[in-house]
Amino acid sequence: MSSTHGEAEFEEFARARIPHLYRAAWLLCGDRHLAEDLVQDTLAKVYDRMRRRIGRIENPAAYAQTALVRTFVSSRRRRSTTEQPYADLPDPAGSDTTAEADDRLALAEALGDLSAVDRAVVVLRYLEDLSVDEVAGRLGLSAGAVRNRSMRALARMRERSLR
Amino acid sequence: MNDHDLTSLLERSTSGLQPDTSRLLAGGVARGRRLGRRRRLAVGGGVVAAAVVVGGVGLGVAQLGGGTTTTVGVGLSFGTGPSAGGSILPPCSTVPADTSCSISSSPAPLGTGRPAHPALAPVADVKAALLAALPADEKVTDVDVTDSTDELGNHGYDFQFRLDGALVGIAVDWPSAKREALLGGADAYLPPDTDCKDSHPMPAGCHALPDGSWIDQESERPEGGSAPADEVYTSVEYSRTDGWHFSADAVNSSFEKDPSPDSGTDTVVSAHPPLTVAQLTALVRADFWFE
Repeated sequence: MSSTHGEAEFEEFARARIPHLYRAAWLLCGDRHLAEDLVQDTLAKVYDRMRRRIGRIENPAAYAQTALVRTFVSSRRRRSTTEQPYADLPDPAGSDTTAEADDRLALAEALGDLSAVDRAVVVLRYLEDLSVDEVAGRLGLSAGAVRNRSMRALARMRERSLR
Repeated sequence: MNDHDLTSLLERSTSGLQPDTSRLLAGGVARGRRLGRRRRLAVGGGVVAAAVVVGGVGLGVAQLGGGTTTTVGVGLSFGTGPSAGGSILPPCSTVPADTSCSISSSPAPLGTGRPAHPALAPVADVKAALLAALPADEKVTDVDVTDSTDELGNHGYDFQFRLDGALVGIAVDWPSAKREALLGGADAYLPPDTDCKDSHPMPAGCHALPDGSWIDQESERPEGGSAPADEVYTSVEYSRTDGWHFSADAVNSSFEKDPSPDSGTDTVVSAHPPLTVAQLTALVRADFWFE
């Protein structure tokens, strides 16, 4: 295998995954700029890992997914003392319909009520459609903790009248 | 709202988001490169603090910077490095049937390497020559050498030191495809070589040298993360035709040992990195590395 292949593989992987990573990042961050920052940090970790001569990534998509949520959670921990309100307004997207924009605003407000870890659980469990055990593995939590956080998050989002 | 409703809502509400894929890709690669530099510099950084300058050893003529005679302090202990009097040979070749190489935690004995690949000079000689080649007007501290030989036969040295408080790291090694094969077979995400020509897109500073080797010379101010806004790197990646690979990095900051890109604890100590790309290039292309 040539390194050209490896580099090309990274770009191919990144281009294919960026839209998905960005969606997850936006749900986590509620802000376009923070989401872009998170996606770039995630890609950096994947890129660096792929270029290492020791250690291998069996599943780059899963690795990126894990890096995304863990980077987000750890960054929120570091910033907790200067935490800013989540999701002031949904950022515009060119193809938005009014319904999409309304959905996004309501969702952003509901997710903004959750802790960083709970947001990560929601994204992995319901956007990524991972099992409880898989979410637990990604976040380093027990399966029971994931179930509890899922239920709690869902209940709080219902309270926000999300339909 | 049940589980299915929430999934639908998440998908529906984000389906219109349109990231700038090319920009994010470029940013990710740039940050990834910086992350790699941090990791490389952090390899020996964990023990740098313990390798304090002993001082007092005269080391000849500076070949860079001012070019005047200088005396620098030199740590005399090499820690875990190879024995000062020995030389190390390249690791196993990339030929699957090659059985002439040694897969062990210690350097291969003399005579078992491939003749086409020069052996590294004894670490004591390399260290002395390297320090003698540094600019005369900058104070050298925290000199450290780490033997980067691993259990699968990848031989090399990691040198680290500070120049007026700013960190410099130079690593030489010979990545081995056979070693990677031993780790689990071919992996599309583990390039056995790191020639800059194979990067996609090829870095602007990447070019071939007359002897067929490749070099990537960069001076870069990293974007994003929590690095100081005025932190600047110079770096050189040099891939020789014989398989030896050099990574040299200099940064104008104190560079804390935490390899996290977001550690945010670096302190800029000068306007520019302590060595220019030309100086780093001269160092990695010097003759003193090999016997």
